Amino acid sequence: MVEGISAVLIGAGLLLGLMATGIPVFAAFLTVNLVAVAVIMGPAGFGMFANSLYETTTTQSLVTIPLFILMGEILFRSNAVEVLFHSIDTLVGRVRGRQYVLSIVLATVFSTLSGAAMGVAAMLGRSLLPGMIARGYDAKLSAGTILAGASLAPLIPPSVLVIIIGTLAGVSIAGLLIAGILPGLMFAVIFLIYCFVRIWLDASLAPQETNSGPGPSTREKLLALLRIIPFSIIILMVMGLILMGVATPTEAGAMGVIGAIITAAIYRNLSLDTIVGSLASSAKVSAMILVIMASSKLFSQLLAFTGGATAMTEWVVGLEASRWVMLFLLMALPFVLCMFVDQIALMLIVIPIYLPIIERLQFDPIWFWLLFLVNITVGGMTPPFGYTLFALKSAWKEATLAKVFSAAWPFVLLYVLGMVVLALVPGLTTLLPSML
Amino acid sequence: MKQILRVQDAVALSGFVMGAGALGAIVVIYAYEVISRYIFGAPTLWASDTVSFLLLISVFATAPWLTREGGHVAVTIVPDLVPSARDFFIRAGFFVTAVVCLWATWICFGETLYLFKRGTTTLTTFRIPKWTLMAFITYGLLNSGLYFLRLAFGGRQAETQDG
Repeated sequence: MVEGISAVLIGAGLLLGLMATGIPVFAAFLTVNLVAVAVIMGPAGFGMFANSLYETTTTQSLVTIPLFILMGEILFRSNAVEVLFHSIDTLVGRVRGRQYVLSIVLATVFSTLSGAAMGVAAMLGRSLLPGMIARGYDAKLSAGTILAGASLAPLIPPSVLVIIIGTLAGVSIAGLLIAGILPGLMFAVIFLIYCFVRIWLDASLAPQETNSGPGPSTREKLLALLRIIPFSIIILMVMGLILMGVATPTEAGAMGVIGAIITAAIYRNLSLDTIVGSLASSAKVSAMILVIMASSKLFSQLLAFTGGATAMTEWVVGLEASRWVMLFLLMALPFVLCMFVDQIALMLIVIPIYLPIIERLQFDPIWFWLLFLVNITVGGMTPPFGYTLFALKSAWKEATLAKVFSAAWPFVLLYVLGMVVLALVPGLTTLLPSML
Repeated sequence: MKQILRVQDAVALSGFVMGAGALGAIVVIYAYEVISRYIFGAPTLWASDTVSFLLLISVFATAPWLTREGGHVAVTIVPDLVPSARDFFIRAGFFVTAVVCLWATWICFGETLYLFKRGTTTLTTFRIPKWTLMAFITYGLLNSGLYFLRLAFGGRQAETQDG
């Protein structure tokens, strides 16, 4: 029987190889798991396989996934985001390089509401980017701000990836959700500072918007602020209820859906079509994610059964490298793999392998898994296979893929810089969860 | 043959409607639970278990329709590197997926029968026969497997969602 580290390497290698051939991700997991069960345990292990599908899709915490997706769907289909778009546009005012600021803030807010980086990148790539380029703003910097802001989606709650990590790693989902707030805001500030520095160094990157008339009055700004107040209902329903200890993250997800319905109704954009369409779309997206998760569940059990996880842990700990070197290595692997492999698939392979290792290294779980989440997030916008890049490219027809890649790199480096800050200042991730 | 395929589509669509409906029911049940617990001080005993069952139903009732629409995510690195053989790779992948799904169906069908014969119930606050839920898994895998066969040998160009 294949066992120990070779089991881990063969299992992970087969998975990655199968996935690269274009076979659906869930089928790659199914194939490896079924063949492994048949070889290692024989038909006696098939009951374990069936049970792994059952257990995953009846896991309480995973109910949050369709609920968060549904919340975003309702907001986007009801056009409530249009109100946000115009209000934030007004609130940003007439600062030099305002379109960059607008782009980062919009991408951050939209990705927070939708939780889907690709969707936000495509949407802003179609709606905001052409206007920025037409006004004379630097195309690459403009595209970069959209990519970077959109990529904050998994970090700032509500986040589907947090639910998956929390469930797989056995970390408090509420804690992990809250932990993403400060780092998310920190990254947005880093992107803004970067843009201002670039403009300061080269004023031609941000033309004066002379034809845009006088800036918005205080009254207009107040009205814009009033118009976005209904969105606080959703924040209250989700994060408020979790922070107050009134609801579990799953229940808060359901209340968030109610909040999204109320918000859409306040903006007079709620219809039966919106709700039905949102339910249908959410059911499909969440089925896609959960089928992958269900198919992968047995992989971690097989790692344990073959002694692979234990052997891997012993090997890593036996390296006797410093904690910082270990952290670097543990982060470098998903960073590289995420350039080629789907984020969720990668998490499902890596987390069961990492789990015993980080326990032995005694890393704070919230701190480590949040860093891991940022790492996975960056993977979505890292050339050559970051999916958010392709989403933006599909919306930005006249750009070459090479141009999209070069737009992304500075912001990938900013993400790495932010990760270094988060690693050195753990309080940024652990402060809010410690208040729960 | 077309008649059979139409029946399969109708079954898959009905399952999809049920899956979306199950998702709606999850929202209603949890909202009721939170309100019931904190406003009326009367938490339910059935809400969280029911929601778990509904999640399983939503996932596996929706899966075949998702397959029909090419909604499963795939990493198409090799097919993209060999454009001339792209369609072959994608179709071969669908065929392998069909075989694996049907293999999993056979396993889950056996498990459903086993649970039915033993009268096994769920280990939850209120219990239901476990085979009823396992039957949804079996259905989801079976119908998805059949759709993957259709995608592998169908007329139009095969595609998945580039994840």
